[in-house]
Amino acid sequence: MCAPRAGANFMDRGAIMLNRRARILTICALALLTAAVACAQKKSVKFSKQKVAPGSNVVIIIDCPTNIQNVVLAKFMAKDYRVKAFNASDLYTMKDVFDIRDFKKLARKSPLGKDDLLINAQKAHDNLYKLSIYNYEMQKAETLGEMKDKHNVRYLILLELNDWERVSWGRAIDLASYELVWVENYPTRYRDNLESIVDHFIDSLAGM
Amino acid sequence: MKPAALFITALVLASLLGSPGTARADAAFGYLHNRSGNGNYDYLETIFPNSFASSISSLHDIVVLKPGIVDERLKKRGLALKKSYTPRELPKIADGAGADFFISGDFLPLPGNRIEIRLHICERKTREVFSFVNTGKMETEIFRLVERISAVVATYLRQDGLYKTRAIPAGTRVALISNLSGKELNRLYLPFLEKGFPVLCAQNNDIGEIDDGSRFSNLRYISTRTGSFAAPDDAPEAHFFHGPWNNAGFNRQVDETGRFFRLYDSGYVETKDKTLERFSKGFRDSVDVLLIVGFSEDRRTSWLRAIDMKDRNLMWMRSNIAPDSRFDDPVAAIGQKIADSMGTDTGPAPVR
Repeated sequence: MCAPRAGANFMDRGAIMLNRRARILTICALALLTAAVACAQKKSVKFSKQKVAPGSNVVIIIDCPTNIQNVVLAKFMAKDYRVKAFNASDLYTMKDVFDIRDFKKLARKSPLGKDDLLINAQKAHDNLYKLSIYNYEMQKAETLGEMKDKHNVRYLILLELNDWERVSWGRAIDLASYELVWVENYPTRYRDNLESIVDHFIDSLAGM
Repeated sequence: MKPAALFITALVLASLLGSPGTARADAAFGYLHNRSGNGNYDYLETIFPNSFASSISSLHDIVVLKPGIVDERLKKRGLALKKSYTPRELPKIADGAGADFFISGDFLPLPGNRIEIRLHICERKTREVFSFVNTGKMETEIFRLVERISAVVATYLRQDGLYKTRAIPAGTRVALISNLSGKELNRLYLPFLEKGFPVLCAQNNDIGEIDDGSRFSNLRYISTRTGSFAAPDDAPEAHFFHGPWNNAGFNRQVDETGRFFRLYDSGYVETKDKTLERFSKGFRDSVDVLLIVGFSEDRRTSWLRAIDMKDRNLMWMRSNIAPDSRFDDPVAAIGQKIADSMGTDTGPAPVR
């Protein structure tokens, strides 16, 4: 009488065990996938087409408080780069001065597209958005051209510095050709500090 | 329970490891309208679509419906197959034809025994319309033209909206605009730089991202003289009463509104051409190709549009680009796929 019931219990227990195993396996697979993608995204990236040697005229754009900017700029100056004043010597921030040419980000709002318009302006509005992207890039290119011609800047260097477990990155543009000549993603290490990251980027730029 | 549990695990693993597949498409053909007004060419209105359908069916193994069958299907739904349609009408006809794609278009005989053929391909599911223009010689070379256009259509239907007019060899100077920024943008640039494509400083001098919510996806829709991809809007055509009874202030408002819509809607291609010309001058004519790459929010899929800056025409279009493995960094993998396929005639391999 008891044998089939015991068999059924055993089957149920087996199914529960299997379910648990399946769940654990699924969670492990998801964790593995997340970890793999996260690691892949934090991999270091480096490409250098030409050296940006000490002595070059450079503009450095870095989005951080002024005191940290000073540390970064001082590092470049100590290595003999000729750092042109761009967002370096200002008593005000770039945000206060520049509008569309501020090298920051695109942000625009327009009253078009409101529901109370007589006709559907969505398509025209979308087209206007697309044109604004092209215009924005074109105006930046013109500004970079002016930077080179009027202020004798050769390289524009962009940096973003991040803490441990995150990625610091940099890019350099040769304003003579408008070409990207150096890119680097540097996974910040535990023992890194502000100065060691900047030193790393300067060495990388100079091809050392 | 045991097989069910195993099945669920296998399904999860398969979905993690595998990639999305593509289904086989079928296409319905409408007529090709004779734009010349010369009745001597009217016979081509039926011959062209039938020839395209036969060629696509036999050479490219795609299921096709010829105009006669499409007309019968439409009649059952109280519609009739017309010789030409406005872009706005196409999704409704595509629904009526019952195929994945509805293809119609027009042609114009040109001086010098040449002919210009324009096709509109409307996808029933997305209601988006891809249009392209191809020009060739009549008479002896007409079959070659039919085969060439059939190949373009078949590639578009079978390979996730792929359209490419030519290969882009290493050394071509590329201005790249995307909705990535910072370290992600560096990972996208790397394969292009390593493949020997000079990347110009469009966008890459941004510290902040260019992405403005979902607005960047508007750039998926593109309009050029020889190729465009658009979602026809449903806005009704508005007719305004306008005449001597209107006062000057109202007339001025109407003029200003009209100018806005001429610039950014009906005459958008001309406006954009002028903008791209200024864009080119801004970069001192150093841009060969403008490459626009849009990523989904999770970065796992991407689309691209490429404009030839010499003639401002669409030269490459592709949707649904995805990494082959879910363990890869999607931005780097997609960038690698695009960079690898720059030099080929057909673009990245379709996702299978």
